[in-house]
Amino acid sequence: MYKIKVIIFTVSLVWMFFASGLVFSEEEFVVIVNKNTSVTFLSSEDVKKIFLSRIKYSPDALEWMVVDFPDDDIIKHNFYEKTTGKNHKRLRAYRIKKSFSGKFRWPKILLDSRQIKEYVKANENAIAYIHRSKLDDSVRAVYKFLLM
Amino acid sequence: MQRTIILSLSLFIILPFQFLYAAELSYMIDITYESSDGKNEFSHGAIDMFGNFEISDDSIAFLEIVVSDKPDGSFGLSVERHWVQKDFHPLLKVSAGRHHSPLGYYVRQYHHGALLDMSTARPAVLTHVVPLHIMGILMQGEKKLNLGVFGYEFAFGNGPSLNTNPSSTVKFEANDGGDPDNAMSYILRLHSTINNVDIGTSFMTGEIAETGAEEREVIISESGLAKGDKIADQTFIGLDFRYTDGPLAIHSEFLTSQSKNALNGVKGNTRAFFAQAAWTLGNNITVAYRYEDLTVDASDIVFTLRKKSSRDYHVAVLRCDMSPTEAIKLVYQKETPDGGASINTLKLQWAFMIP
Repeated sequence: MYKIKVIIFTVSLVWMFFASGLVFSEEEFVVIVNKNTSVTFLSSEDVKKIFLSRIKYSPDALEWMVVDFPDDDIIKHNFYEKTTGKNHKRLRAYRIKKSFSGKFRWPKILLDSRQIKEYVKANENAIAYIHRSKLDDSVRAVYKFLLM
Repeated sequence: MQRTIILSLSLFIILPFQFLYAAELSYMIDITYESSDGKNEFSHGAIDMFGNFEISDDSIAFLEIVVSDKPDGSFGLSVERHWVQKDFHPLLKVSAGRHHSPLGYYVRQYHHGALLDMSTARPAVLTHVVPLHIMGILMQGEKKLNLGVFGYEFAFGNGPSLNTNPSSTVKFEANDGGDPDNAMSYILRLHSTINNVDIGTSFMTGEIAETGAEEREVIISESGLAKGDKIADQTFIGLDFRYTDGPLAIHSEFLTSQSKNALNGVKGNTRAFFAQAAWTLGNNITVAYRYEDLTVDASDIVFTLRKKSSRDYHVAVLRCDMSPTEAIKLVYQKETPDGGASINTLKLQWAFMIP
């Protein structure tokens, strides 16, 4: 009888966990740019190429400055896996190889969405990604995506 | 003696390594097995330690140190690149230090780091001909226009020199310090990227001076030249071309050097050329072929002093990229000196990077 109770309790707990959406819930993120740029929309392929430095210049002929969360932030890991298909190790290896020429500029690392938004607002060539709930009129969203 | 040298080099490497590790250096390393007429050996290619570091929002520094094995079995340590750069404007970025010479695309972009070479090494003709480094100032800039991206690189710095003492290995030196003469070298490269095509043109002018003794003492070398004496005026003109489209990558460069003997005014013209085509199958397998040609003019004082002679190379490559940080390459190379017998070499290389 005790065993049955344990089983029922465990199953109920698991069911509630899944039903709450905590495991399978996805949250909406946006790629943001400065409002003075002429960019209003980016495709998934554009986003991938810009964040991998394969597209160097914006349509306004400014060199893109990619802004990232810190290396230990799960948002960064999930963003790059989602948009580029590269996990943290592969992304780092890719960027290091590009840096060998001496011409590659590493992304700007900022701690949180507030700092990122302020930087994008102040720099016409900046591009970054934040949670949709952090979006306001100070920057422009050009691409939306879901992250776990 | 050899053990002492190796120990000293090891200590020298370990101590700065521990200091620099905080700045996150990466490493490219390669091990090669080579089999040719009468030769079967493994060789330790190079340990290439490098990194670029953000100093401020508009300044970066770059460092590259290479430890490589020499034919006599010892190891050599060289500071390949070290420079600091300030970005004043997209059209004006200024760096000071030791740079790759902006002579062509390959030299400027790589020239060390076996993982990045399609074959087991860079095109041999570049090693034979091009002054690979310049110690001085480099200015560069780029602008995106409707047609494409256009840019320039302009460098000036210490001119190269030659140690012409016949009892020494004739060494061609970029001169990081102790430049034996006052003459500067000037290099200009213009480049453009239009769709999938990259084109560049390079121009270099300078004087080749006598280095003197190994220890750079002021003595008269056996050739009758003193330290700082001008050996020749030298001018380079180069063209480089790259085209990429999906799995296809084509890369070709041409360089011509004109040297004017400072002693008797005789001119010589040496040319180097390579063309490479590569095709990637799937994600990991690449087949490539490269042809290289070096034509040395017997009247060219610089290249005859450097004991270079005309030859051509056929290089066939089968490459497997097992991951972004490691590759295995099987290379067949046929080197044919002018008027001489061909040397056929089979090489197997494992090149990898520690990110």
